[in-house]
Amino acid sequence: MRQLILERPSLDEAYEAVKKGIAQRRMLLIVGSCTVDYVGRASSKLNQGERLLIIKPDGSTRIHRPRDYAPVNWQPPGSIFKTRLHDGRLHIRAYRRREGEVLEIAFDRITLVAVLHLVDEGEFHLYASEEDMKQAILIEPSLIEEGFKPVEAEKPVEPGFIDILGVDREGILTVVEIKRRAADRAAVLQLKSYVDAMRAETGRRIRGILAAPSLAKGAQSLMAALNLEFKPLSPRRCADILRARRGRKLTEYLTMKEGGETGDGRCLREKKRRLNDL
Amino acid sequence: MFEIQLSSVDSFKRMIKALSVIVEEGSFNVDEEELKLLAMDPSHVAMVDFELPRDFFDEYLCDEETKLTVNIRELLKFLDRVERGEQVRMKLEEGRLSIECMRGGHKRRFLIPLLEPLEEETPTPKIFFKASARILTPSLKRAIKDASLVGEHVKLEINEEEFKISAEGDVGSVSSVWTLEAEDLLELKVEEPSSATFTLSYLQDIINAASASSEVATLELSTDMPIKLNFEIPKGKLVYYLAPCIGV
Repeated sequence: MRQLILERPSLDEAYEAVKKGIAQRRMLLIVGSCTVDYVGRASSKLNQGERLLIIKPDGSTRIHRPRDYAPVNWQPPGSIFKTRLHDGRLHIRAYRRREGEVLEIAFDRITLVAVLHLVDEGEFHLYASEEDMKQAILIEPSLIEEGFKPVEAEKPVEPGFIDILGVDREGILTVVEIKRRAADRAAVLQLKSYVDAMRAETGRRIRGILAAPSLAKGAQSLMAALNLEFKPLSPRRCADILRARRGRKLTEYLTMKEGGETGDGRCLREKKRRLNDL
Repeated sequence: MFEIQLSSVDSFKRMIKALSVIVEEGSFNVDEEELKLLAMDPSHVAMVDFELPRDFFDEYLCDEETKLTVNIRELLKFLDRVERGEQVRMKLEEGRLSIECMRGGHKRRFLIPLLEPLEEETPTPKIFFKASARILTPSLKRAIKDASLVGEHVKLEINEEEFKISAEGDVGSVSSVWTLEAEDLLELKVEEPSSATFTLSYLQDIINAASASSEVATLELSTDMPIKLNFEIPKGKLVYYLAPCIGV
């Protein structure tokens, strides 16, 4: 059955369509007058009213009332369904055995049943450029590792520009090279050239870290041979950080003396940065 | 014991409305001298520091320091019911706030429950601002409204010559500039040219609500620091702080 839309079906017709639709893992929309009972971590009971029930192919369910943006009841994917006709009503039960949750909807009258086959292969991408990834690291240096302190970005050296030059928590100079795709051998060699340039310039030990979503096949062994390090970092994670960090909280600017008391003696609940740190 | 009386609720209501854009539930600290509220919005991005002295009210009785925690939005709904010409008396009555509206021999009474005082204490930011601009609020409101056409963020800049509000987005860009020659700009104090960017919706909500009670506002800025907006009211204090947006 490709797609089926029934208007004001009898309970029997609805029962057949819903049972088949669930078995065939379709997207179901059922509109009608129903009651809803839920038992699980909490319990709830919704008396008779007209609502929209959505059952998705992955077994997730939601029930929407004719108001509010959020569903009044819902279950995540993986529910097991049991549909039956009983005492003049169509009962649809969504059951999660491991969690012991049961959601039961009982329709006494159905306005619409839609059994749909929706195809959605679109991938949801949240893009961050290399520049964004660099900004995210500068805002949140712990993305590289705890205690990492960026010192300079876009530092010109012989072969090009170092994305981020910083020091680790032991004070060792660290070169970070950022790639927004899987880092290949060329990226590894690029990092090596920057590390060599810094070593020539300072005469000190230099750490080299490649920050990228992943390492390409040939690159791993080369990294190990050249004594360089890899830190997984996704563009998506960086995009989230940029989005969250762009808006600051006032609590970052509240003054605090040692021990958590402010100038006028009131206490703060959480640790806050000192004004001097800014 | 706490009791206040007003022959007209309008001005009080407008100030409560100005508080409601920041807080939903707030604690009023009342004592013999004044009524105060200091609170942050739930997302901790904005703060309001409000004080109303006893002489704002026609009658003010308070014999000991008390904390009245109410749902500000609910309070506003009830205050909206008060009509022109009605005298209002609010008092603490057995754990509830009573609002009485009187006109002639007719009296209406509302009772609102008082809530459990909120746990957290809110200190005020002690920032040393490097620049400030004192401006007529309608002018400020207009500039923010203009900015709202194009973007989500608005940049405020103060330097020796001028005060500027600007925003940009995909649709276009907007800027409003006041030099000291502008009638609406009353004062410009600059220790160091400063600029900071803020989320427009917060700034707009604050300015729209507060400008109903205030003709003149002083904005204090330091680069990439929170802004302090001091709305001058005839009696008392209405001050907001808003956290900046960095790297936008």
